[in-house]
Amino acid sequence: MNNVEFRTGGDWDTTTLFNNGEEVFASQLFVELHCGRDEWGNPADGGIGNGGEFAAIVRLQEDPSREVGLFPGRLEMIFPRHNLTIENTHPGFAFEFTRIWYNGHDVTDDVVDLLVNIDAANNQVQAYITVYRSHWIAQDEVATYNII
Amino acid sequence: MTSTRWTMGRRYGLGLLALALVAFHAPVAEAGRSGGSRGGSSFGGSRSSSGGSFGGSSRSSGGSFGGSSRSSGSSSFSGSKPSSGGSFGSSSSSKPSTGGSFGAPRTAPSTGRSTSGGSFGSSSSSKPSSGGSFGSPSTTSSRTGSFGSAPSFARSSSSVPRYYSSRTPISSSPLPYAVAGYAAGSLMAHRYGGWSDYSYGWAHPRWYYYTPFSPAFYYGRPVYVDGALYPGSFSLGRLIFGAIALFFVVAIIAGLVKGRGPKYTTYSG
Repeated sequence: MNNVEFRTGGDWDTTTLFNNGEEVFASQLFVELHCGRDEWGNPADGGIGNGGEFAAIVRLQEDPSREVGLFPGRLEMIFPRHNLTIENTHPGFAFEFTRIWYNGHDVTDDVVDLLVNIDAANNQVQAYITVYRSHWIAQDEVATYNII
Repeated sequence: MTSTRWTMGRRYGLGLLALALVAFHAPVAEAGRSGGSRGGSSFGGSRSSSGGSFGGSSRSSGGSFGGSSRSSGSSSFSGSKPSSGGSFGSSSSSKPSTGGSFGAPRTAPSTGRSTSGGSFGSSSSSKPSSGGSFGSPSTTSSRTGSFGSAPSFARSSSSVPRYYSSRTPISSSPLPYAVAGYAAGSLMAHRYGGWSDYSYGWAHPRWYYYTPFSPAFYYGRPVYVDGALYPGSFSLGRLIFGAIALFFVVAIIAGLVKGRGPKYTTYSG
């Protein structure tokens, strides 16, 4: 069971990755989640419960060609002004057992898209999360939060 | 818009009522004119020799306001003209024994008048034994909210509603009420404060009182007991109905708003 913590202050010097308390020297952290869509592919309320696809890997510096899976386990990513936590402790990494918190709020049933790509080899950094905000009377909202 | 429509309808109604009254009184007026032509002064006439007028002195030859068949010279409302009293509502020749005058004492037996005095604006043939009345018989019979009975907007009861029987009213004041949009009168209304006063709104209801958006909708009509009004009780059934209605209204609005699909927004930073 992995317990991964990614932390960045906004530049490469402050970016670290730990697994179970030990620092991991990685070249890329890649997390991609797509879910929360109806039968026509449009964003809908429901989040993980609607099913979807989830990928979470780390490429180590010693062997960038090899993808190391992060789950089952817990991944906590700390960005400036943002905090993202993903957990899936199911031994078979079943998709429906995934839980997501964004800035302390459980968005498991609201998430639509999530992408975190920290690619040191190509000097690329991108992270965002899209959630479906259902309102009782007002118009629903598909909100995308650019994390970094 | 609604008030304008009501005003127009009210004007048309008053116009039709005036036409009906004119049509109804035309034969009477015609009779009066025929009577007056035989010998009398009419309402307000001032013939120097024989015509007494409305408010004239007690001359011996004054004409009467309502016509008189009296042979003696007793005074009428405006004077006396024993032999040729002009009439307003009846002719002395056609109705010698029943010619009434407006305001003459009916109990004076010396005037020769019968007990079925004439009426101002009504036909004595339609109500021969009821004495004079100030309005037409038809309006008298259809008048609502008369003394001693509950007005149409209130519910009549023989006892004070139980909820208020043990309480002291905060205030008691006359409550004017309307029937069919017209001022009809006023009754003493006991007020107990709170929202119960909305019950008295039914004395002059507005269209929105019949919708769940008005507090008056949730209160019953006032209760009329012994000449006074008490607030109607709160209706739980109407509250449930109102809640259901509000739910459907909100659901329809939400459906219209949400039917446009979600909006896409992006937040940075």
